[in-house]
Order: sequence, then C-alpha cells, then structure tokens
Amino acid sequence: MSDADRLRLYGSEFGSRLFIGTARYPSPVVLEESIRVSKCEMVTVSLRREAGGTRSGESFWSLIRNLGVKVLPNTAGCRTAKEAITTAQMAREIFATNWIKLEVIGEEDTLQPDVFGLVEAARVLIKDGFYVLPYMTDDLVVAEKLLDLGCQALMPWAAPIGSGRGVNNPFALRALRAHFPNAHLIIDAGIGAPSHAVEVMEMGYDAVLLNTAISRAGDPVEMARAFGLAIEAGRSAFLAKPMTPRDMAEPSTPIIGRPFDQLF
Amino acid sequence: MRILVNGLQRDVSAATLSGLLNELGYEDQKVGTAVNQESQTRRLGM
Repeated sequence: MSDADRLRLYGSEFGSRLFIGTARYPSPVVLEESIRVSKCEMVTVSLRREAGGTRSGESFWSLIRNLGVKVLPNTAGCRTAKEAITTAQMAREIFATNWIKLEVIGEEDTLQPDVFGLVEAARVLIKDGFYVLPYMTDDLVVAEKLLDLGCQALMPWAAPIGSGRGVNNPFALRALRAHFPNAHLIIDAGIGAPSHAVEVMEMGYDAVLLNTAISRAGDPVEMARAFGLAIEAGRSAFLAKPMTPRDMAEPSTPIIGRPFDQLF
Repeated sequence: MRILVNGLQRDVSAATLSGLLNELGYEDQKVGTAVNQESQTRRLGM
C-alpha cells in the first residue's frame, strides 16, 4: 500500500485496512501470530467482567499491550445506551484511549444494532470527547444522523455478527457507499471468507473489521494471512477502477482496428 | 455487607470502593468500576 493511500481516522494513520477482533482464539499464541501475519495495526478489545478471585483480564491486557498495535475498545454485549456509555467510560480509563467501537445490541437472534440507542449513546459520548466508531445496520438515515453528530467513521454490518454469511444486501451497501462518498465506512460484521472482504473493498469500503472468520478458522494464522492479502487485493482493485460489466460478449482480441486504445 | 459484583453475590466488609477493590484482590491491577451503571473510575483517581 502506498503512503498516499494510508487510511486516516480521527488523526491516526493506518497502513493496513484490516482490523481484527481478539475474541475466541484457540490460544494467546495463535492470537498474537494471527495479528502479526495479517499486518493489522488496530485490534478491538472488550472489557472483561470479573467478580473477584480471577485475574484473567490482566494477562490478556498484557498480551495486547505487547503486540504494539492500536487498541480500539468496544462495548460488546451492551443492550442499552446507558450500559454502552458506562462501558465506554470505563474502557477509556482502562485502555487510556478515547476511541470506542460503539455497540448497542437490540435483537437477540441477529444481534442487530439498536440504532435508536446507538444514536443516543453516540450523542452523549461525542460530547464527552470520544472518537466514536458506531456499529450499525446499513440504514441510510441512521448513517446520516451519526455523521451529523460528528462520527468520522461508520461501521455497517455485512451480515449478523459471527454468521460468516458475507454481504447479505449488496444493494444497501452500495447505496450507503454512494450516498456518503467522503465518510469513512468500515464493514464490521458478517464477513466469513477473504472473498467477502474483497467484495466490500472493491465496492469502495475503506476497511474491514472482523473476528470470527479468523479466530474460528481451522488454521487462524493462515486465515489471517489470507485476509491481509484479500484486503490489499480488494483495495487495489477499487483504486484500479474495475471494468463495467456488459450483458453481451465483446471480443477481447479484435482482429480489425487498433491494437491499443491510445496511439503511440 | 452483601453486594452484587457483575451478577455474583459477594459478602464484603469494605466500606469504600477502593477498599472493595483491595478486598477483591485488584489492588495492583488497572480496572474500571461502575456502581449502579455509573462509571466510578475517575472518582478513584485511577
């Protein structure tokens, strides 16, 4: 990736457009190696809830800190705006960052974001100085409201969290990209295979955040490498401006006329 | 005093949040705390 194409978010720059979650890996070693080979520069982490007697959160945090990547805390598991706000405030203290991936879950079967709670929580957190990256559906109106509040990046889903289905509604994602050409749009959930990541990057999405597709793969490290390559391929393809599909055939080797479009 | 810590009942003697963290074994660990869904960490000076 060229320096000119580095992703700029809230004043930070990223050479990689792949962001990775840190949950459900087979072991800390596999997590560490997966992040390293993917070349990802930001990982998302959730608060570990403890009730005393265990110190698992401490060792996990030590591992993440030693990776040398930017940490994006999230409010995973929050069901209300209030809960998400409180979690974000605690995360800011623990991780010493005002970045937050804001999740407010509204429905149990699909883990669909509660977009009303999301907008409410984003409003409070932005006023409190947070850099909010909201996990949202592909709804244009919600996107508009979140951008108006001051979100510099939005994180629409491709499909439900952990489903690995790929892009459920390509029309909606294309519409979102077209409506907000200058907003940073990061696909956040539903990606199951590197080909899905290529698809959204070719649409012009700025980055992809995923977890389960790597952590639950048969070989997470190799899958992390594959996703790193896929993100680069999709981004390059987008910048290269793919040809327009046609309904009918067109000879790729014309026998009459010029061999090149441009004379030399 | 009986309280709920992340959904688990705990019998504790501490009278302050700082004391509670010590009693639960987090005295040397960076933690975030909330009481009745209100973040408290800043008030502890952590």
